[in-house]
Amino acid sequence: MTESSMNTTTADRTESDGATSSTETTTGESDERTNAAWREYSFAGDPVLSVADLNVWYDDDHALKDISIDIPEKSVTALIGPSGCGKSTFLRCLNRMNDRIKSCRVEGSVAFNGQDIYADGTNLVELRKRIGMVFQHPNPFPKSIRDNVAYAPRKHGDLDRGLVPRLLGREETEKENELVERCLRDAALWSEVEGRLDDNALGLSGGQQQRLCIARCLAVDPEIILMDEPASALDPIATAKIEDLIEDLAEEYTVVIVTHNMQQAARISDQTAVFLTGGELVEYGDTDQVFENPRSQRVEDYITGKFG
Amino acid sequence: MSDAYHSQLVNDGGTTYERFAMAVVAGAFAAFVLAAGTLFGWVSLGGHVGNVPVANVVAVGVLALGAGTGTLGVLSRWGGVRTTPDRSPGLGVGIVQTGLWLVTAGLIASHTLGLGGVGWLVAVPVGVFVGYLTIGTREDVGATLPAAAFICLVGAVLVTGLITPAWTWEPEAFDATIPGTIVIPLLTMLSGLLAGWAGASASERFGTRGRQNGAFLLIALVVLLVLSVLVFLLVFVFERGIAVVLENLTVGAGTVLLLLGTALVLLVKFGNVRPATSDSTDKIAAFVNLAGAIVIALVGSVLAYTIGVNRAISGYAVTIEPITAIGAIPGLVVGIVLVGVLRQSDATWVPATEAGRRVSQGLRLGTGLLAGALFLEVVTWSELAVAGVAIVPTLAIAVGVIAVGLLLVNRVASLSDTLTSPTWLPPLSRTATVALWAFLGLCLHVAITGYPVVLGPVGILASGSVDWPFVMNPSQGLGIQKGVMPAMLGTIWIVLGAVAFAVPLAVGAAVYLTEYAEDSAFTRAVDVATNGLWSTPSIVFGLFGLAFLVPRFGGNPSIFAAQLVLGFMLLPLVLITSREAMKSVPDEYRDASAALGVSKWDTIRSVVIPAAMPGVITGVILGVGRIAGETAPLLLVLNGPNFPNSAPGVISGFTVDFGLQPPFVHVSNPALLERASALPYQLYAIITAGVGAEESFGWGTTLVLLGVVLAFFAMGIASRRYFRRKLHQ
Ligand SMILES: Nc1ncnc2c1ncn2[C@@H]1O[C@H](COP(=O)(O)OP(=O)(O)OP(=O)(O)O)[C@@H](O)[C@H]1O
Ligand SMILES: [Mg+2]
Repeated sequence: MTESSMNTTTADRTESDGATSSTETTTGESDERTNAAWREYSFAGDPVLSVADLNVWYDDDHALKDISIDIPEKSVTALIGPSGCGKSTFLRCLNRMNDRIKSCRVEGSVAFNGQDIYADGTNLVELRKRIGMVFQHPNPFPKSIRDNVAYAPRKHGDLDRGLVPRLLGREETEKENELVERCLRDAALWSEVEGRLDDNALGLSGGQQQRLCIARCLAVDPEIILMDEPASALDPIATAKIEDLIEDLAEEYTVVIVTHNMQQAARISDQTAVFLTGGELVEYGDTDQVFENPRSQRVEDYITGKFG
Repeated sequence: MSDAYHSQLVNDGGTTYERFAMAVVAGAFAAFVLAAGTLFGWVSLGGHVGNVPVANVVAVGVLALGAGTGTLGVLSRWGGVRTTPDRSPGLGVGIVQTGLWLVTAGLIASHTLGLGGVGWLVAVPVGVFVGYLTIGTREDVGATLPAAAFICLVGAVLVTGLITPAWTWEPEAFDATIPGTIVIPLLTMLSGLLAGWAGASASERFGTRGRQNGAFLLIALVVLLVLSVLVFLLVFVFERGIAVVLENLTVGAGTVLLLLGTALVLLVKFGNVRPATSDSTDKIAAFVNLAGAIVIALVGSVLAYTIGVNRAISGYAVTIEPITAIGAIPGLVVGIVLVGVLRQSDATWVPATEAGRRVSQGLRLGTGLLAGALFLEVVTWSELAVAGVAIVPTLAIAVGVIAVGLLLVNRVASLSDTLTSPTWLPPLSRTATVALWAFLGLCLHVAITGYPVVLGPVGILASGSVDWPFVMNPSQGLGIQKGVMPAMLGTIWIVLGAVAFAVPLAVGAAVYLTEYAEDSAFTRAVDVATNGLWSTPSIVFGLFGLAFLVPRFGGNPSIFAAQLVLGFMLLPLVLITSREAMKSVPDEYRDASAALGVSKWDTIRSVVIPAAMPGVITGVILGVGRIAGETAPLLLVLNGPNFPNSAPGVISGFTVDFGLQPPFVHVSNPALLERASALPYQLYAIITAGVGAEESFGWGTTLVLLGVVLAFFAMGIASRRYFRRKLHQ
């Protein structure tokens, strides 16, 4: 779309590379059990996201250490790992939501379709339109269900409400109705809210709110969808629906999903990245291989439940 | 054992002891209310009940209260009543009793016994001793007997006539005369509080639950006192002003019926509580509502009778004429209120069939045409007619008749079992809304053109349905005609101007400070400065306006200068409250919006400001209350004639010229640059004029001022409610 809005300069690249290479040696020494080979994963085609030497600090707290990972297009990537190991932090780096946290400092590079999103002059609004996100805690707006879903498309001008309907106030164009229905159906929420689209979203249950947030994210039609434990507040039936949705989405979109549910990760993802305490990426590879034949002992312990 | 267990879980209606305790509480409550009424002057201590002076009744009542309180303690401790007292009533009660008895003994010793300052020395051991006894005994004794002793002492003093209403006390320490008419109610109130507290905790058999009950009672009594101070103030002003304000008021019966009908609709819509299922306060509200509805129905039938026999009724300086047609302005007000009510129940109607869609389009076309025609009338401010036929009334009546027809069809169809309503029939709320809009259009038309629309007995009148001399006329010389219209309009214009000036600025500044500026020394300095500005005396603002604004805008005090000055005064409060409201909008909303690729400004506009809106309006409500009554700055920057004989023509004063040079449009309003009057300003003039005969005029002005402020307040509350509902429902 607007490639020019996300320009990058080679100077920036080399600068950030230079900054991280100095820290590489120290973290390499600190844990000799982490083997670079465990993180190697080769696939055909260009990666849609390519993370290189990513380090994140919250003030002095080193939350992510030297993360390098390539994520293939149109697939599902699962991020698993114990609580507090930095999965959400990593996810937020991918659409620069970490910029909104004052104490957070990011070094390294994240290339989206070959362009560094941490380069100067990146248009964050455009970036986040193309890399959507579903948060760990449901956060619908205090507006009607319909307004929640149609919010971003309206702002982006995808839904033109027109002067006359706006004056009359209560007219929704056909296009908007269709969009709202499609997104809610995709998020497995339609049947529950069909009759009350004009009710406030805060009146929904926690799980329903989470699905509404998924629908809201889908309405923007991003290229990559980042999901932070989207199914943690859902019952098995809704979870199954969301899993189906994610598998469907992977035909057209790239999905990166954080989950604590091993079975879920095994079921839906094409490749899995395992983070372990301390903010390191220990193993990354084909999901079947990671779950059936992990190369790291610590990952095996974690997956089999011996270690948290 | 099981019995005790049972009685703890289930309230079995109470024993005689509990009923007795409740009686003490009720007596204490009555004493408290009676004493408060005496202080406010509603009950006179010098009056008689039958042949007995009120003062004696009070005295005996207090004595009985004391005896009752003591009995509660004695019965619990030695009378074999099963209660659950703690070992001690606690330090707090002990301190209260110490203080109470120290003061009592001190006053008796130093004044009654004439010991002077030495008396207080004697009093200290007494207080400490009572406090020690209180703490040292079991709760049921400590919480009741010292209080009972005090109440009995008060009762005895009153009964024996040591303190009578005619008695006065002139303490040497400070120069004041305290009459018995104040001391007696105060002592009674104190006794009421003590007895009520003791009785309330006895009725729950002491212990934790008892103390909680006692605390509730104390709080309830204090809240009651605060509320009654407010009510007292309102009633006081109302009593004195109402006769002047209502003098020679003439209203058409049709208009009154319309207003009553609206009140009934609002009552039913917002007040329908089921007395059977609701709890205490709601239950009271339900009965009050019911009473209101009955009163409205009664008054309505009287009015219908007036119309039926075609005779005017009058009383209390008010006349109701048997006119069935209604006034345009009251019609507009009622119409707007009802549209607001209907909007809340109006669901979107998406017709399922082709016929339904055509009906929907037809209705929309009708209202659209009507709106267009009205727009033309508003712009030209004259009647729109083709070949002698006025367009708006014709259209409005046509649309209205169709809508009402559809409404009736729908109603009939839903009442009968055999008929099924056709699928194209719009829902009730839709047709009612359309009919209302037609009615509103008609009223607006009449108000603009001044031509009444009347068919036989019903219709809409441009004038004559309401004649309210005090509110609708200027003053015309002393003793001829009192009126507040110019001053009232002055106040309304000034407040509206100040709000229009201050609110956008303040909200804009709040957005900048909260959303864009980093939290820094600068923002903190701005916060301190705004707080300081809000506490700045208003005369300072007035002087600034006089010295700085007035020379720059026309050179003489003017409405515009007053609007700006009051706007400056309003700014800091709206800024403070808006900023607090925006700070309390959760960051999650901002994150969610940002993650959807929505720009910061769009996020602020569509998420942050709507969520902060109730807080902003709270600020405006508080601020308007202050500036509407502001007098000091108006003396400097408004400074018009005290009783102008015409109202400021702010609407008609607007002139718009078009030119070929930039800025192409030239808007001016000389009326804004003229001196004027305002209600508080006029009130000040009346009172300082020192003419005794005009005192009632002053009270009337006060009442109108209060009415204007309350009207602004009501508008504020209504709009805040609207925004809250949008956020939470
Ligand atoms: N806003 C913040 N400010 C400071 N420290 C933070 C912040 N967010 C996260 N951290 C720290 O960063 C580390 C990683 O947190 P993160 O939220 O990424 O964990 P997580 O893997 O998502 O855990 P969970 O599975 O419990 O969600 C934690 O040690 C946490 O304390
Ligand atoms: Mg997390």
